[in-house]
Amino acid sequence: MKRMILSLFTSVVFLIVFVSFANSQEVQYLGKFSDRDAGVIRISGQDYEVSEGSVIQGWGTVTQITDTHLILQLVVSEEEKAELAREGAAMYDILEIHLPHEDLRVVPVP
Amino acid sequence: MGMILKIRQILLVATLVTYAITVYPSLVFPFATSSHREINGAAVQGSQSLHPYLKDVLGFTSGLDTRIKNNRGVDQPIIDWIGDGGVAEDELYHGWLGDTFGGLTRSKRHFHQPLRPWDQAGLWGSNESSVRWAQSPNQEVGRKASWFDGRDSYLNALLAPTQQDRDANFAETFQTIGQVMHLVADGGSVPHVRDDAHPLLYTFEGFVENNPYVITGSKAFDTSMLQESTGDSIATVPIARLWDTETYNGTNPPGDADTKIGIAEFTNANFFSRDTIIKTAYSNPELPLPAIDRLDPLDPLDPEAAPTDPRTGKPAIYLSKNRDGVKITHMVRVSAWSRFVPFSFYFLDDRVYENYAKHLLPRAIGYAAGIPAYFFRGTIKIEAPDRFVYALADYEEGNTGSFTKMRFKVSNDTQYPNTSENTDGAGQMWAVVRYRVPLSGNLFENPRANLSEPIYAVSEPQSVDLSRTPQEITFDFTGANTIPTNSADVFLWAVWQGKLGLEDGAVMVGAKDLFEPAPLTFGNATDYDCFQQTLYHVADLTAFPPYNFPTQTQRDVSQDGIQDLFGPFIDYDHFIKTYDLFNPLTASPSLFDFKVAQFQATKTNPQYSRFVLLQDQARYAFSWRVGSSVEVPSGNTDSIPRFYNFSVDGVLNDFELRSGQTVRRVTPNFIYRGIPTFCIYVMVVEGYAKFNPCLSNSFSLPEQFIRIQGELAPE
Repeated sequence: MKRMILSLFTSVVFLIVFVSFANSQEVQYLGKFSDRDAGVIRISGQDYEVSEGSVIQGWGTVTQITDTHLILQLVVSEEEKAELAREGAAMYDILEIHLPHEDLRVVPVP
Repeated sequence: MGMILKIRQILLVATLVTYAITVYPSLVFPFATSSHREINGAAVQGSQSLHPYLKDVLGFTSGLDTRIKNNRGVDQPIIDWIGDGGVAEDELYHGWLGDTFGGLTRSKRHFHQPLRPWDQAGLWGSNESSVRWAQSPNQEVGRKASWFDGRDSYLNALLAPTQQDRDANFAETFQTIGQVMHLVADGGSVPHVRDDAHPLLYTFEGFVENNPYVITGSKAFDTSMLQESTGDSIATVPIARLWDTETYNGTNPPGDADTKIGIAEFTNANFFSRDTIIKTAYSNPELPLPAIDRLDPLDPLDPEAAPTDPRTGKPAIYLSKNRDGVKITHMVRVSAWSRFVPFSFYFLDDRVYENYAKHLLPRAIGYAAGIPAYFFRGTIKIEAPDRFVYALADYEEGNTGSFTKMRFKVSNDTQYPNTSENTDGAGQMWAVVRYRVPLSGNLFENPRANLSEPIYAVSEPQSVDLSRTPQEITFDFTGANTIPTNSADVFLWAVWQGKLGLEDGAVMVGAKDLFEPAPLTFGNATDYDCFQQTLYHVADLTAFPPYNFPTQTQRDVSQDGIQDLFGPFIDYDHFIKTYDLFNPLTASPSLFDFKVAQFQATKTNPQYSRFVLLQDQARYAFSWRVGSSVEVPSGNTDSIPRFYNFSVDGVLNDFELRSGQTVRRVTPNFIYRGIPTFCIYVMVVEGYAKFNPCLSNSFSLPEQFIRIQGELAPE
């Protein structure tokens, strides 16, 4: 007896690190604890608890943990600013990375 | 004889020149230039609406503190440009020479006697009144700095194609606004509203210059004044009412509580200037009030009211005004010489001026603030179109595509002077998009690429009859004005010029910070199936031929007599429709943003397609309709359309100013089977439940996606 074939769609939700990043580890934001201001990230398949102030190598310092995003900041060094100026690029002081909660992309909208 | 005549001529010329550079300018100097800078600064800093307007509508992230460079290389904050306007209105040119000759030229247009007809209300009745000068279409001396000149440079700034042009025109705009504010503030300088040229003497303006602490407070005016027609042929814009509402007729002097009154009327009716101390009320039809015979002596035994005059050792005698409008304790001082003659001398000293300043400076500041408030009142509300997305573009290899049309809703959202300030008839409307491009590479591949300085795209103009009801407009960005899909920090303005309230040719602006160009990416990944955490390349029909028990059982991995692996599939007739989370839509052949005829997943390459969109929500959603599907090995067909809905995060890649630091916000990307993207939606066998254990291993499968072309919905 053949199994009924179901073909469904799903969204692929994993974030992986872009190759040009200084650190090529994969980082996923798995969500925020309901009982405390901390969240869970997955790096190369290993889960870690992070809270504000946690430093993720190559990604920066965790500055905010919400249900929808993990926000990290990297301070631009004076050398990096000089390089931006040399290239004629728009200047900034802080790079802020908004990692979306991965589940957001797979929950179907009612 | 001839020599003597020549010497006389030289002396005459020298005398005239000396007069010109010393006496004449001082005839007509209003508040000192430094005082005007202070007044303008206090006016705009006290404004509740200007700072957020500059930030949220015009995109000046630091508001009044945003630095702008003009076309002469002067780089300074907006508030300084407005302050410079306060100074420049007294100058013919910049610098000391400008100060001097400003008195000869511009400053003599800084008078308005409100009890005269406006065409005779200027200095000595022969010079143009400040009310008209502020709106003079062709100021013939110095830089052109009327209301209309400011509006022209404002429109030029908004439609400028480069940051340099934009900044230069904005610098002009803010300086011109400062110059018009100067003219309003002069309405709080008594000599300027009582036709008193005040030559070479210490006056109220000198007191304010020496005592800048009096430049404080703000007296609001009744904004309904700005909805009254002037009936004047030159001063047509209702800002003229800030000077003169034509309410004061000489017999009804306004009090402190009166706010629906022009500043020139208020000042003229209540205060003396040095050369206009009138003794008998109503004896002079142009200056009926105030008058000495309507004043009361202060108690000479009260040391607070009548301090000792150090020169005489006796109490100084002041008169107070207790009727006819504003009550002023020290209205005028009686000269000590009056004791020796049968009549009295009167003069105005610092104590008097300090009393005046308490009433006049807050009004000068509050009324001057009305200029930028009215100038920047026209506000357009921008909303997403019914289709949700503002712009759609085909994805081109290397992210080299562009948006050529933009669609959104616009409506008049003007709140000042009140919500009944409506437009009248059609005007010209433009859409302007600011964006940045990466200095190299593709932002879908490297969102952290360094970005350029802002670039501006201006649409073709449209004739739009703007109203309070939102209407959807499509703007054309073809030609040199296309917006690259490879861009970031996207910000949209709508600019309209037409009749707003009583102002013809008013400029209105609306703004919307859009999320960055986002690729919506779809694919067919049924070339692999997942079973017990292992991926099987089912598109290899040699390795995995169709299941045919008992002769072909490669698809029964567990060898339990039940087929475990399925696929690949070919899916037909895909329609994608994006929507706002609060306004769900369902994709269909007649309602879609993007469609693809079919997706296959062959042995060597699965297929994907994508399009790029601009939208304004942090999260939105889309509906995906699949017409039918066929499982390749079995030939089984499912011809019933299926529908799926997913949410999507908006892509960030912009700049934000926080606590003086510029923060660049970035949404990171990832690569799935060779596709750099921010999100991807792929078809897999039995969906997430079955495929999830294999998902992380599927990112780097050797068979990479290849793109097939879809089709955008027609505009």
